[in-house]
Amino acid sequence: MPEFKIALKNCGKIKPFSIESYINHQGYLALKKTLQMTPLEIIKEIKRSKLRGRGGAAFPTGLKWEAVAQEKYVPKYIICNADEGEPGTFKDRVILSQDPHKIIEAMTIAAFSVGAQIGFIYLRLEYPEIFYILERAIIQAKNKNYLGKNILNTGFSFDIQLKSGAGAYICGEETALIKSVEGKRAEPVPKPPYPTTCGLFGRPTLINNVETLANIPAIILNGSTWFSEIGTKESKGTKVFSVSGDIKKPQAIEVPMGTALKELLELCAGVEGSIKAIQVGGPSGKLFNCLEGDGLNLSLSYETYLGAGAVIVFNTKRNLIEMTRSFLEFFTEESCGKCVPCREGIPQLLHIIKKILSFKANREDLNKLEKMCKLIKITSLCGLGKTAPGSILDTLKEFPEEYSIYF
Amino acid sequence: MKILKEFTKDEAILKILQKYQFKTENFLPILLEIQGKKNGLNTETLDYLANELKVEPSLFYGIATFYHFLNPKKKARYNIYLCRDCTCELKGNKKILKTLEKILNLKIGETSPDNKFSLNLTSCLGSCDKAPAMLINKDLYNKLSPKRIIKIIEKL
Repeated sequence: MPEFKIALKNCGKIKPFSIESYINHQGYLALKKTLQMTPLEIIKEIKRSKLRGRGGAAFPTGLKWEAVAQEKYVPKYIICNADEGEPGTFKDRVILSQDPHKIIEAMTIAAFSVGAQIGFIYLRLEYPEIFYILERAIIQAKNKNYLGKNILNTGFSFDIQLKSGAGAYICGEETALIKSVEGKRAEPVPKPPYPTTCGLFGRPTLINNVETLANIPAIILNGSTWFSEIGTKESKGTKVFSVSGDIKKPQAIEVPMGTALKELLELCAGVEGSIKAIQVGGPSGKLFNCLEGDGLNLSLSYETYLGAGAVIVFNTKRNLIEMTRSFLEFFTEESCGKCVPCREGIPQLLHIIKKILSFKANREDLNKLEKMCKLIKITSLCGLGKTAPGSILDTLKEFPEEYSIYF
Repeated sequence: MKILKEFTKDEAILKILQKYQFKTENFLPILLEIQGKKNGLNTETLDYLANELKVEPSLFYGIATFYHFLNPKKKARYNIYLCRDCTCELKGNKKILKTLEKILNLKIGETSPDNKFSLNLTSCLGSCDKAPAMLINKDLYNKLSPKRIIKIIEKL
């Protein structure tokens, strides 16, 4: 299957600093169309498209919109989650830096559908250049009345504010993100209540990932049937993969859901060396063994695993236990410190992995490692702690021979 | 809580607070801006802020120590943040780190005596397609090699 661009359609074709350039490429047409529809009709269309969240959790977007739309408390808020922090993921950076108006248009459509008047883009501090691009795009959209008061004379008003993070991976988790927008320490809280009922400042809040939003204008313009014919049974549409590591042309590339790994790698000019494994979805994702059987025929979709779509390629010269160590160092640094199993457990996992790597561990350590992994997985509150031990369990299962060298 | 301490008015800080309308939800941009202006966030600054906003000082210590880019320590003129994570490691960030440590004569987390450079590791910068990558203050440098690093540092 070749590339299929929806979210990345304008990338490289339009000038990110020019609203005219976006308008010349069907920009803001979807907004004009939706403003003629009722919120209910728009939500029905999004539900029919079977679009699911692209940030990793894969929640059906239409259902989320519906949940917020049905809430009676006002004001309602919408937030675009642009806190892309998963190592190996850079798709949102590409979308935001090359096609900022698409996100503004999609947010305005979402706001109209759920009845929100204020939106926030929560952008990570590590992308300072995008802050300026978005700042400028918001002003341009306001000048053309695609944003602001009485949008296109329909009586609907919506404003977007830019919020910058300050460097914390946990802010990608929606409840932590809300805390951060409120100006607090970004510690996740238990769900329910979900943000759709009790989110920002205790109000109903819609939170969507950048890539999810980037699909909205195309769905509105081409129809939900067009969209739902792309992809597989459970995974409709396309996915932007951030391919990096031992690959000849690392890049963000968009293909239909269900595309075979082999084809994806070919589109990126092939593997540097000979492939051993891929990690899909970054450190919190899943490891796939590509040495045996039909690892390369793996179909990438929600049915297998997607996460946020990072694909890190490892060739046969790489040590996967070193990879695990790198992932654990990341989680040790990024644990917010709220729950004991995550805060104290992950450094212990790292300690044992380092012990193994220095040939000092025994079989008992290995048992302890497995036991602790399972414990941290079931006792952590949020996704960070729940997924942190994944790379150890995956390497133990898929590549046990890599461990046996050290014993 | 009342802080039993006399504070002298700091016009620069007050200006920033006014810009953000003294609102609690603006604590992050307030702290980021003050940090830039005051060259860091020391305890006195945080105490003063808490006093002005009538909140517990611990609230600000809590925020200032939570986020990686807020730092209660003094800031250098050029703060280097080298990406620590997986793809950058595959592409040789260890070599870059060694080169940086050597030419700056600094270890991770240290600031040079003349306060010109600080050397830090950071989590993924989202530049994995052009790894390895680093930030110097707000500027991104990618596709790094030891040779390029020497050139970049020389120019600063």
